[in-house]
Amino acid sequence: MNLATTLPLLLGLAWLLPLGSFAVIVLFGPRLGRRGVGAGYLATLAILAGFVLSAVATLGWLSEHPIAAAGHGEAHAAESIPPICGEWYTLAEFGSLRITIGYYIDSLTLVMFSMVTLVASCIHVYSFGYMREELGTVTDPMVTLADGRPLERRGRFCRFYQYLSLFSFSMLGLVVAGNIAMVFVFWELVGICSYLLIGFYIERKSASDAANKAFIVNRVGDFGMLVGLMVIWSTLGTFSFPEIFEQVRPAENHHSLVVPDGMVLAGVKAEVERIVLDAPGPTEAKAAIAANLPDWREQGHGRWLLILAGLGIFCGCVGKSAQFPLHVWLPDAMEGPTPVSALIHAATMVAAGVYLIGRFYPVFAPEVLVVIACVGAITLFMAATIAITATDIKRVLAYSTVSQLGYMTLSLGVGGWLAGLFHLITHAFFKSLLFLCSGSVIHACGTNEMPEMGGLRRKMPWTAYTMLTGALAISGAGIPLLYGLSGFHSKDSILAQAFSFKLENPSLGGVFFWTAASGAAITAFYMFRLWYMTFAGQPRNEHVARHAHESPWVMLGPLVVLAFFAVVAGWTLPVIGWGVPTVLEQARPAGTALGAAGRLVTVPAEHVSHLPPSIHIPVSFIAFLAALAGFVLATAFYGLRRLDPEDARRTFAPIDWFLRRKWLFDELYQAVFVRPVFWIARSVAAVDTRGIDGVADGLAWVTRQVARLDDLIDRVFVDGIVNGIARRTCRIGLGLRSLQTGNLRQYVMWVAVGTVALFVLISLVWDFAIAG
Amino acid sequence: MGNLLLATILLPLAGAVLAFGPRRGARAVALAATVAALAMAGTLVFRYPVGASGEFAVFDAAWFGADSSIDIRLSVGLDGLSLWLFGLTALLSLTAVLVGWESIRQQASAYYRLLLVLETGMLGVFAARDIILFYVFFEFTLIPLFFLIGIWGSSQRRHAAIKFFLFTLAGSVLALLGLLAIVLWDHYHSPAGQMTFSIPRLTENLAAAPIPTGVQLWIFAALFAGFAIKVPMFPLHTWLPLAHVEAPAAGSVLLAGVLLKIGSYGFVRFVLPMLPDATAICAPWLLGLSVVGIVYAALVALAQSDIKRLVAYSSISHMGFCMLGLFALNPLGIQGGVLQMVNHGLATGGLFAIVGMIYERYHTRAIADLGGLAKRTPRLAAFMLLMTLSSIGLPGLGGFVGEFLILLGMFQRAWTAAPPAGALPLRVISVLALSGVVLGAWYMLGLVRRVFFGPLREPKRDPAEPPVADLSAREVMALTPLAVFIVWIGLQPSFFLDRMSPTLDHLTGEAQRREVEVTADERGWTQMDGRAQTTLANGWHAPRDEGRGISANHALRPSGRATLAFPLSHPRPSAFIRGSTLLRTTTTAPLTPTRTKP
Repeated sequence: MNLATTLPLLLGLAWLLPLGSFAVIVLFGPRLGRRGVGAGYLATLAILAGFVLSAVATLGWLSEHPIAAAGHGEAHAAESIPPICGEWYTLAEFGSLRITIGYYIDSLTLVMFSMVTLVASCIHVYSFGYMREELGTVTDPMVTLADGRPLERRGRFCRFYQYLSLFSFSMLGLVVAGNIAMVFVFWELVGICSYLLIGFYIERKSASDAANKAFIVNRVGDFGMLVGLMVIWSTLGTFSFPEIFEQVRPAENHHSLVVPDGMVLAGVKAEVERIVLDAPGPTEAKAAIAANLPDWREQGHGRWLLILAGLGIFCGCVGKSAQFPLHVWLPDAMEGPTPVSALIHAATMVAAGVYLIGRFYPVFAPEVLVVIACVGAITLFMAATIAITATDIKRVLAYSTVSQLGYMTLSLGVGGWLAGLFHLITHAFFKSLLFLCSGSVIHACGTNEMPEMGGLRRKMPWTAYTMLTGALAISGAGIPLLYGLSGFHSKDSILAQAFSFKLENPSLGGVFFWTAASGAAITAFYMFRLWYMTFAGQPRNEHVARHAHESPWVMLGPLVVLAFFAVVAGWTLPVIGWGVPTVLEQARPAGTALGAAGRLVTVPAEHVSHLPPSIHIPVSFIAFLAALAGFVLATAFYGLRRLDPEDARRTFAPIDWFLRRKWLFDELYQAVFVRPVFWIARSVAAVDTRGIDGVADGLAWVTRQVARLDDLIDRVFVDGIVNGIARRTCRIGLGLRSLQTGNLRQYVMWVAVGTVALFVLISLVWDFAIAG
Repeated sequence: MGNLLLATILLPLAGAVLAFGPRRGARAVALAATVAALAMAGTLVFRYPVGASGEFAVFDAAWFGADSSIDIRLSVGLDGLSLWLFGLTALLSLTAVLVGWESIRQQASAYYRLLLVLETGMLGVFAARDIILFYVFFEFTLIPLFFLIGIWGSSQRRHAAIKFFLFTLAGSVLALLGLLAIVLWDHYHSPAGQMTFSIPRLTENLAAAPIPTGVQLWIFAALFAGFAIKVPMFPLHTWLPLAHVEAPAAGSVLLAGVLLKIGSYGFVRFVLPMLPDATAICAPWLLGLSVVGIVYAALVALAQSDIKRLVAYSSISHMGFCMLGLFALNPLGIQGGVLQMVNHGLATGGLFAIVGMIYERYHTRAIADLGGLAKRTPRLAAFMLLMTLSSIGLPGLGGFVGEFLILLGMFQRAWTAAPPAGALPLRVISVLALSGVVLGAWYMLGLVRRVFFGPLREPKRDPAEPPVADLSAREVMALTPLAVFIVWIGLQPSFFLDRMSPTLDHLTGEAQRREVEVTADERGWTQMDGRAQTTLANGWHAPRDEGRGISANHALRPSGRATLAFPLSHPRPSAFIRGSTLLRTTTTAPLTPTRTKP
């Protein structure tokens, strides 16, 4: 099989099928089948076909690139298999800048494709049951009309599947993307799908608020991402992954991180300028610059640009993967239908941020990795603590998701590339399982509130025990050093890497490791608290319990499939060596296996963390004991009721209050960002109408006043003079009229007088003028 | 083709003559005229040859003074710059006619006549190849809109109409003054004895014999004042929200969609090619002003409680992006800026049409009066969402392409091409511009959320009246073409860019080169070889596309200095000669304020 031609074809097809389904549903949606039920079949078929294609592609890949014989060590570094890169379509071309739809296929792409299509297929099937009522007229009890009745509306079954198809397309596009600009394009598209699906129940104010919050908070992250993107492009001159990686980790430098030429030169502009000015010609200038380049690089010029680029890209990941401080949107996003929470806000889209950190890993300098690790550690701890006090079943899971994403981020930050991405995959399975189970519970009870539930395991055993599987998987249940559920393997490798980091950097690493370990205890605690409150004990609300029922098979089937994967996703097949970690290892970015030494920290090589005596054994037991402690505590409080949660709450009242208010983030952001921005906006608007427009109006007023004054002058003076002359003339005329008497004698007399006077005048003038 | 172009321009005028009589007859004539004009404009646009940098469909006749010393011509034609704006005008005119179909009841025949005259004016402005003709058409757009606002507007229409008229008139007079100064300078300094008003001839002449920088700066000031009012750029924008709020829907659609573009079009058509030195010197200031406008108008939009005012301020913010792209003075930015003019026309024109449809239904523009309309009018909501998403730059829709190119251009300018001394302010500007992206999503999605999502809230209505209906077929027809083009630009931007880029390179290449000259000259680099400068400015990009194509590639060498290095790549042979004499010209300029080096 020629992978270079078949893989792009297979994955391209798997990617475009959901787009086709989306297009068909847009055009013919409600006419497909009875009340649009055909839309669901179409979308499900498209994604299932996508899964088959991805699986075939993965198998093809594995047959070409069999897993190397198990063995840790330096060998990995040389083993990375070159990715298959290329372009499908050119959006626009401007000389050296090409914005293209391209692909970058390595085993990470394939694993992500298989995971996304598999989880999405399960969720498509599950939604047939969960969204069934959308086929008819829906009564939404959460929205009351003006007359007090609940809202009735037409079902939106078609629209739901239409959005799901668009989302699947966008998510797969993000994963297959061959350049960072294309990642950004699909990054925004999954964002808009998330926006549309969170706001699926648009009549609910809470839903539309949550949708807006999600999009805008993500935009804040995108702000940073755009800065990173633009810096990369303006200094390196390309968006394409292989070209960026080649510049950042050149092969002749054994793939270790260097500041690329473009960034060094952008960092020493003034000196380059001086050299160019002093040089007699361009050739000499170029030579001089080239000669100076290593020195400049040695002095650390342009390194800040590399760090800025890394931090910028990471900002986008912070928004998308709901990391501190932009995590606030994800819990609110639970306003969407539960299958959406499972697909987008647990398994795939929110993991896209972590995926991008993994994909862009070669570019992150150790300084950036420290920031990534810090953000991850803060997130994992903060979200886990909030999950302890939440009572809404979906919100517990949402905070759990945030916390688990924090684990992945921490892992990538401390050098655990494989561990982080491994956890991404296992988490996708067990977290989507947990969400779908919670959806099944919500479907049965009609409420999200866990205090209303209890004792449901008798009514809905399948849901209860698949959910227990998920809870065990996320807590990392297993036999230390041997086999366990999927979360056991991935979490262990994260903790091992954190421990290895701690050995290299005792102070900071200790914080990371112990945070992660205590996070493991808290995880087990809140997960079992959830399970006990929902399924164990006696029903707390008779009404809810009476109506509860097991979900139909169309919903339970996907639960069983996901539960299966939640158990086995961490395993590695004994003989052929197939398993998520071994396959992912093939995609390890060149040069990242060896670890890196930065000014602040030393990032240890990942294979070190597998060393049994010094790291693996202690870590396994610490992780096991931590999870066990959480489990025991939860059992004591909620399972056996030996301890009273109310009691504990009263004892730790301030902490409880703080956790219930979710660390006050929403309040803080309202006070620090939202309200000030609106205050500034209103002030600026006032300045605009009164100030700037006022100046224009003022000018108009001044003009009018000048005109009025002019008018006055015109009337009083100019017109006055004219009128005055006229009046005088008139008066003279009137005066003269009195002479005109009609008396002949009088006229004759005047003539005589006039003649005499004339002669006198002439004689006088004669004297002076002529004679004199 | 030239005759077809002239016919397209004059057809609405003929329609205006025929559109007499009662409402039904008048509007039928108006519809027929706009549809016919759109069909003809479409023919012209789609037959435009790809990759042509010259003019297309030229109609040229002596107007007066054929054999006298003054040469004023009746001359129209299309090039890559005017092509899409011309098409946009024809498209939006159809929308404008359909938007007021039912709501205009009094003096309908006069209304449609004015609308058609306005269309002729707008088409003519973009096609004119003669300064006097340009000015005539420019005024042609002014007067009909003045009456449209003043007669068919809402309560404060008179104030708005007068304010609009005075501002724009001041702008057009200043612009005319500047253009006449160019004509006169050319007349006194060119060997040909004839005083020419022809835009292409002036462009050629001034490229061969540039105006001294000091004089350029004065003319630049006049043209800037004129066109910046029209765009409008902060702080000359206050006429716009008022005019938009008071104008009838059709007026708003054309005002936002087309008339604002005349300002930015004027910059690309006259300022960049004819005053390259002044442009290069003033560009940083204009970039600063643009970014202030982007953030400022976005903030004001955030505080609005009136839908139309909000969209009007968003319009100012987005036009700030266009200006940012144009004055980044590199091919990416300029192409992005021009493409963004088209995108903005489609999306904001569509938004104003939608706001008009809401107003027609509820007789209110207050955001607080409305809510949850998606339930009542789902199709309207879908169009609203599409236009909103385009204007906040969602990939796959037009707005993204324009915005992204502008930002690329701006970052290239600020992070790579800028000299060390001037880099920091430019870098701050480029990052600040990004905040417009965040704020844009905030206020536009906030508007959609408050008006269309959430529980249904409508103003009180007479219970006997039937509930408000969703879009009629006519309204869908008015919006669909806009939506189609928004998606098309988003998915296949190369179709649009390929047709505009050669012309833009041709028109703005000089300003791009001068921009580099100015920065070089300030640091006394004049003796430097062009290639070394290119290398420096590009931050040592490996020139990997040296051997590839011709014009498209050279255009993308950041800062466009490639002409000096690769003389053959420039479309005009004279450019190279100028390239070598250029340095002398600029250094000996007597009145250069910023160049104090001996």
